[in-house]
Formats: sequence, structure tokens, C-alpha cells
Amino acid sequence: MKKLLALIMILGMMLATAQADCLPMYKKYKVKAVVNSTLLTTGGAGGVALGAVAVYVGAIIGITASSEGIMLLGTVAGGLSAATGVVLTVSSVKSASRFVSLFKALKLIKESQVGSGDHLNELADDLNDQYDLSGEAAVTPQKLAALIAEGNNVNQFCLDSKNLYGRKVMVEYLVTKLGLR
Amino acid sequence: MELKLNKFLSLFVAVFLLSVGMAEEPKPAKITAKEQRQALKIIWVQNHRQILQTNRKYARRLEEKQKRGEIIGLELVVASSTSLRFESQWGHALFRFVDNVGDAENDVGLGFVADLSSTSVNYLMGLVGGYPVFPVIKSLRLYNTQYVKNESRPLDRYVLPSNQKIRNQLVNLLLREWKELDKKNQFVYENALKLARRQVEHKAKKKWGAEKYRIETMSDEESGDIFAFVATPNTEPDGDDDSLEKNNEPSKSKKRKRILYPVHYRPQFQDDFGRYTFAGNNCAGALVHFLEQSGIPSKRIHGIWGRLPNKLPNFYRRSLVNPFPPYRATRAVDVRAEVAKSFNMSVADMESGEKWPKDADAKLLSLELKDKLLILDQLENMPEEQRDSLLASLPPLEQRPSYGEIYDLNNLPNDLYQLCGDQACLHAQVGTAIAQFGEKRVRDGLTEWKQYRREYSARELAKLVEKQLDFLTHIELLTTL
Repeated sequence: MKKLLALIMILGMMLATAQADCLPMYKKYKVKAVVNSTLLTTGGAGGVALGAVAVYVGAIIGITASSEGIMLLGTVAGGLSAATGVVLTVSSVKSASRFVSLFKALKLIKESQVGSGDHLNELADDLNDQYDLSGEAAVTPQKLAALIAEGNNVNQFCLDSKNLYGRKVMVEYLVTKLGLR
Repeated sequence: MELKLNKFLSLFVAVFLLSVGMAEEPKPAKITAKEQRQALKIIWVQNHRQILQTNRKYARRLEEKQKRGEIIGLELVVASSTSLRFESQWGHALFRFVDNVGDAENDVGLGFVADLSSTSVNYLMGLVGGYPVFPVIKSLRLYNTQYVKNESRPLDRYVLPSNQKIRNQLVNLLLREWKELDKKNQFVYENALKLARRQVEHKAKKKWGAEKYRIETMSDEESGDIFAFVATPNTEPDGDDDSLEKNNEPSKSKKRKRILYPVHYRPQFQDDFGRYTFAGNNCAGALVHFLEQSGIPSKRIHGIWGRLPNKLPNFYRRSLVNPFPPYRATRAVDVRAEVAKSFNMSVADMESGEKWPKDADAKLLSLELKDKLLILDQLENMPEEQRDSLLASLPPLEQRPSYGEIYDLNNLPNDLYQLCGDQACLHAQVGTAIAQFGEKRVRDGLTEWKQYRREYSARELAKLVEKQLDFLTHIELLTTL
């Protein structure tokens, strides 16, 4: 009887901790990246608004509101006026670069749930260009959405919680799944 | 008039403030001015490299479309005005190369902007032509994201009739000038790389001695572009204490000894694009100049209509180019506003995703399918609960409308883009326009066009169309309607 109870408890715990998909993992990383970026600004002293830092880190790796970045007059918001300084180190730039890669992967997963979106549709166009696909053979956003949803449902992109798929790896996975390589 | 006066006053005040140095950004605590400057330079070079890369991709795509003979028309696209930025108060003008593959969303667009040499705008430089004009080449989808999705600025699309010769000339001109500009920027970037590397090595050697330091690069993982070189003495341990793999505990590490040199260069000028000036060669002025070179008629005197983006459609009607009304897709902006209103919130509050009303679920679920998809695409911070219930209410993937359909990025009928050579063609074109835009709008447009037509003498008309005589036939046919 005790063994049965223990088994039920273990199963219960496993169910409670299992991820339905990878989205929560990506979201956790996103927050973590912003928190770590905050620490960079102050050397551990704290006291910096997260939003401002996010803008700044976003600017470093080019994910500010416009896809052009921040220096094209007539198209951009010049969001740096509220920015707070970041102590730039090689790894902070790497972290920022990793952050944007995860951010783009997260966008692909979220857009795959909807079935369309600028990241998903742009990726379909890029693959069609790269592999010279058209007509019936063309990669559609729906095809990509179905593959991403499939991968997400089996936690393909977050099998290793410390090494989530960034955009580049996710695209490689999709290319393989599509049989383009 | 008062409004215009206010705009000029605000320009004057901005220029004054900048010139006396009162508009400087506040310095953040615990970071030196030098570090701040270095960070901004790194941000600048990273962004500039990214912009160049994006442009290359879409320039290649445009070239391929041209080779395959897919480009069938031209459109003038005007983003409505916004008070978000001084220079956007009169809208933004861009241009679409219409192709016959898929929806309008994947067509290539072109807009002219100022290429800034730092992360902040110097309005004085913008007034006197201190910045190069830069041609932004990207998909209409990305322009839609930028203006409609991010800034709630609907895009008006005006047909510019043309023939294959004009379209080829435009594409060739753009690609030739862009490739030249790209080469120049690449050249200065590579020189800046060598210089930064030499300088960091020189300083490090002087400070710590030969072979007593190591050099690392700050670079983009995907493209490999280098933004800065960092020299660190060998006495310092490897790595930093701030990687993503660390936990969320505050970092205890102190600042390291190091020498950092950002790679920095000035964006290059290209003769045919010219220098950006607010009052002349801005997005509208540069576009008119670009189109002129390939034979799209433009009035000799540009006046205010040829310089203000939101007046550009009128300029081209005065230049006898476009008699038809615009295709305007406002649904994306309207739906967002309507949903916010139903929530009894401002759009900004709704977008924050906080304090949504309890009945938000029911309101969202009552939306039409297209509107549900619009909301899901536009509201990034939507509460999880509402997002999940909206997603659960969607039909299977294959039954959902495409991105182009959601944002009304529809194609217009192909025959609208042609220059007509006979009455039958023109009658068919006007019939198509009436079916597309409605009879009253088309008739009003034609009446206005005819008024402008009467202002031209035969000699002036010949001068207007001298580069493309096909326009003369088209205009004469329109006159007889």
C-alpha cells in the first residue's frame, strides 16, 4: 500500500513538473536575460528600471521596435534617450546576441500557434529564396507552423533546459524536417 | 496654418536646444562617459551592419524577381502622419515594386531615409544635408509591421501606371546605386576593423607588454560581423561573470581591466541618392528624384507637394500620373481601437496587457476570425489566459486566412498598373478601377485630374513626358474620357 502511495506521489510530482511545451522555458529565459542585463548595468547595486535596460540591450542586438535598428531617421523612435548604460563585456554582447536568438525562436513558436506572423512568413520567404522553391514545392507559413507546433509539443526545442534552441538551430531543424538538406 | 507655424516653431526650438547643448541625454550612474560613448558606438555599428545585411537580402530578391519577369507594376505607398517623431509629422513615403507572385505582403518596397552616423539625431545635420540618403529595401510585410503594427499608421497605396521599360530602368538604377553604396560602406567598415585591431593591440602592448594580453572580439554570432575588439591582460581570469547560464543572483564581480575599441566608420554617400535634408531631399524629395530618372513624369516645380510625403499623391496627380484613389487598409488599426474601446481602456493600456476587464474573454471570442488573428498578432503582451482561449477558438491551420488577408495586404487587379495605348485598354482599366474603388471616388479623381490637365499647354505636356512618350498616349486617352 505504501509503495502504491509513493508511486502515485512520484507520478503526481512528475506530471506537475512536466512541460506541456517549450513556451514557459523560453519566457523564463527572456526574463532571466533581462535580469542579468540589469546586473551588468550596476555591478550588482541594482536600482535600474528593467524597461530601460531592456531597451538598451535590445538596441545592442537590434530588436528595437523597428527592424532597421535605431539610426535611420524617418523610421525610428530613437529609443535610447531613456537608456541606461550597460557595462559592455564580450560575454554581455554574447548574452545579448543569445537573448535575441531566443527571442526570435520564441516569436516563431508563438506565431506558429496563430499560423502566421512576420517572423514566420519572412522565414518561409527566405527558405523559398534560399532553396529556389516555388509552386507546390514552396514552403508555406502553414507548413512551418505545423512543424514548429509538432516540435514544440514534444519539447524538441527545450530538451536541454540550459541550451534552448535559438533561431538558427530551430531553422536548421526545420530545414531537415522539410527534407531540404 | 497655426498648426504649421507650431511645427516650424518646434523645429526652431529643437535646433536651438541642440545647438546650445541643452538636449543632451542624462548620464547614467555608475558608468563613465567614455564607456557610454563606447557602448553607443557598438550599438551603432551593430545596427548599421544589420541594416546593410537586410538590404542586401531584399536587393537580391528584387533582382531575382526582375530576372524572372515577375515585376508588373509600381505603387506609391504613404504611411499616415504621426506625432511620435518630429520628422514623421507629415507621414512617410515609400514605393512598392508590385509582383505577380503571392499576396502583396512579400513584394519588395523601397523607402529613402537619412543614414545617421550615431545613435542620436542631430536635427541641424538633417537641415543642412549632413546625412546621406539611404535606400531601405525590404518587404511590404516588414513595412506593414513597422507602420501598421508598431505605430498604428495605415498605409495608403496609389497605383503609378508604368510600362516594362520604366520598371526595368527603376530596378536597374536602384540595384546599381545600392551595390555601389554597399561597396563603399563595406570598404570603410573593413578599414575601420583593421584600424581598431591595430589600435587595441598597440595600446595593450604599451600597457601590459608584448604577449601579456589576449584579444577577443564582440561580434554577431550569426553574421560574424565584429563590433569591437577587447584586450584583457593575461593576469585577469577568462570569461566574465554575466553569461546567460548564470543564475539571477546579483553579480559580485568587479569591473575587469581591459581596453575596448569599437569599430566605427561614417556611413557613405551615394551621388544619385544625395544628401538628406528635411525640407528638400527627404523621403518624398528623394523618391521624386529617383522616379524622375526613370521617366515617371513630375512637375518641373516640385513645390510643397513634392516635398511633403502626405502631399506626394497630390503631386503625382498634378503631374498627371495617378488619377485613381488610393487603396487604404485601416482594419488593423480600427480593430485594435475598437477592442480597446470595448474594454473601456486606451489602446496603450490594452497593449500593456495589464488590468484587462473580467469579460475580456467573451469580447475577444465574439470577434470575427480575421480580427481574432489580428489581435493575436498585434498584442504581444496579451494575458496568457485570454491568449489561450482565443487560440483554442481558432479553426485548423489550413482554414485560417493568410497574413496578407488578415492585414488586407491584397493585390490590386494587374491591369490597373499598365500604361494604356488604346481606348479599349483605358475603358477596361477605368472599369476595373470603379469595381475596385467605387464609382464616385474614381469619377472624383478623374475630375480633379482633368482640372490639372487643363493647366498644361501642349508644349508643357511634351516637356513633362519627354523621357517616356508612352505616358503621352496614356494622358491623351484619359483626357478624352
